[in-house]
Amino acid sequence: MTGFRAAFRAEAYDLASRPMLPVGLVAAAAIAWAFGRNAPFDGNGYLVFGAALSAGAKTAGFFLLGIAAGSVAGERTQGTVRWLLPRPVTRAGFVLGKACALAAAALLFLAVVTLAAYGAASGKPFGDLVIEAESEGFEFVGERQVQPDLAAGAMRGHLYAATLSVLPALLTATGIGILVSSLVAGAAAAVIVAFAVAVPLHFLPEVIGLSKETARTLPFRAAGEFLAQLEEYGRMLATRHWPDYGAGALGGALVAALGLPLLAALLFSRTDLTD
Amino acid sequence: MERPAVQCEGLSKRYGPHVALAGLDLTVPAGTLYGFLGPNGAGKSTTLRILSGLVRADEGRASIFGVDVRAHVAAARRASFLIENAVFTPHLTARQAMVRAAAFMGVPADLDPLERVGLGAAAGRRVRGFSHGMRQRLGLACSLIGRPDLLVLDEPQNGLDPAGLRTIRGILAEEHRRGATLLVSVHRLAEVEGLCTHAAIVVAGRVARAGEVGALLGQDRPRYRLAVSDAARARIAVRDALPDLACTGENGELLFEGGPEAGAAAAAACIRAGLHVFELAPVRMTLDELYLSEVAG
Repeated sequence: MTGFRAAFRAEAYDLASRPMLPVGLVAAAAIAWAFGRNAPFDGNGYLVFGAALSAGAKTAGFFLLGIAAGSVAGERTQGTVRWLLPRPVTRAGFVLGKACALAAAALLFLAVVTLAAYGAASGKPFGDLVIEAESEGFEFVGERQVQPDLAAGAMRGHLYAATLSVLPALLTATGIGILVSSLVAGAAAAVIVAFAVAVPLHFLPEVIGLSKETARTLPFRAAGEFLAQLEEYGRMLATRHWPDYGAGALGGALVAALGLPLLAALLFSRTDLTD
Repeated sequence: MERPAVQCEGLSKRYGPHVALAGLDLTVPAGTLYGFLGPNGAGKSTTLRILSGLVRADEGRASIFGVDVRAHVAAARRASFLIENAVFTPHLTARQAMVRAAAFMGVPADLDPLERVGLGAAAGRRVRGFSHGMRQRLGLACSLIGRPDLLVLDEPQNGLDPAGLRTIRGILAEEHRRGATLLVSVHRLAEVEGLCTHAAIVVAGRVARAGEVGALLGQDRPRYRLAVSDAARARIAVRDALPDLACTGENGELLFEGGPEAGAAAAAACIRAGLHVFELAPVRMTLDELYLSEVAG
């Protein structure tokens, strides 16, 4: 993509200097920490980590959605687009450069939230867990429990998987934001529209009567339900939930995360910038 | 011979029912400092927006150094644009704005233009605290990054104080001497008169007049003004002495086309006829007068 690397460097530089980024990072870390430290099941470090990760990732998703929604539309509102786009960069490169800079920001959010979650769980015993057969939750049974479903040693790998599985959802949030941002000219309007689109989509499967199990298998569920996904990714700590987020929703989230910026780039390339 | 820096052929653009451009033709030779003149709504900004890739022409073709502007990246590599008022992300400092602009150009950050526009001392200040004039200077500084072969400036003098105008004029002249081509859209013609080598006047979406400034202002056909005590008698005296010299007279003055020799001969004829000659002076049309005559006409 012509000019993409230049656009990415410029956008990463711009994003890094935006006050909203450190504010969002601090907020996500603080919320992850607070939820972890105040989790009701604070006897086990894995569960504390899961609660902190889920809360911090949701906060990160909100911030990323807002930042992404204001990205292209903000340039149009400020008028900076008249200054940037005459440079040797394609419109598609401009949008994808922003999308990649936002993806880098999503990684940064994930790293910060993960660190905060580890911090919240520090000092707790990382013992064995047993999954209750009839529920979707976990139960802490102590390190000496016989034949645990998830031994403490095995949990570590699951924890990494749970942490990484947040990323597609964060990328989907940025994808929704940047798509709306390329279609709506005003920054404030774009942020409002992005939340107006994302939040109802969150409830859509329930509104149209899909069961949770069916909804989870929808390939693009994450695009509409990224908030729900974030909430539920914590369940990836349990192997029996892995198929729910395998080729279906998790793959769909990745497709949405990549496809939405591409769609945004395509649509923005066809727009006359007369404002 | 190098291709024209800018060539527009039959450019047309409509915004709904409003016709912004109606088949505009324009050729900007390489190495010129080209004034792009016209009233509000004449189509200047639309032309520059098409060249910059911000909008697409409905019909016609535009190229930069022979590269069609629809191949935007290739066309923009040799050009730099400052379209309308310069605006920047407010949280950036002037230095950061320069670095971001350089990153977009794909060239190393060069802070020298900040000094050239007189913003060296304000490099560390955030753009949100800048006055309109300072933003215009910063916009020009960003446009100078990478030493472009073509500078397209839309109203660069907007909001500038006299010192800023002087700085801009100096930079335009320096860039022209460097060999760059400059296409400068302006309202206040006095600010570029004396700098421009060429000019075009746009009226109602078309170029009404274009060419070298000297030719446009009639400097290839000098005119003289003779102030006399009795214009009616002076006309008769000049007509009798110089029957080939076309002259008109009004308000105690004679106006005629011709060089200094013809002027001296006409003055001598008036003196021989017993008239008082108060002044013999060349008549120089200004860009303002040319512009007003085209716009009014």
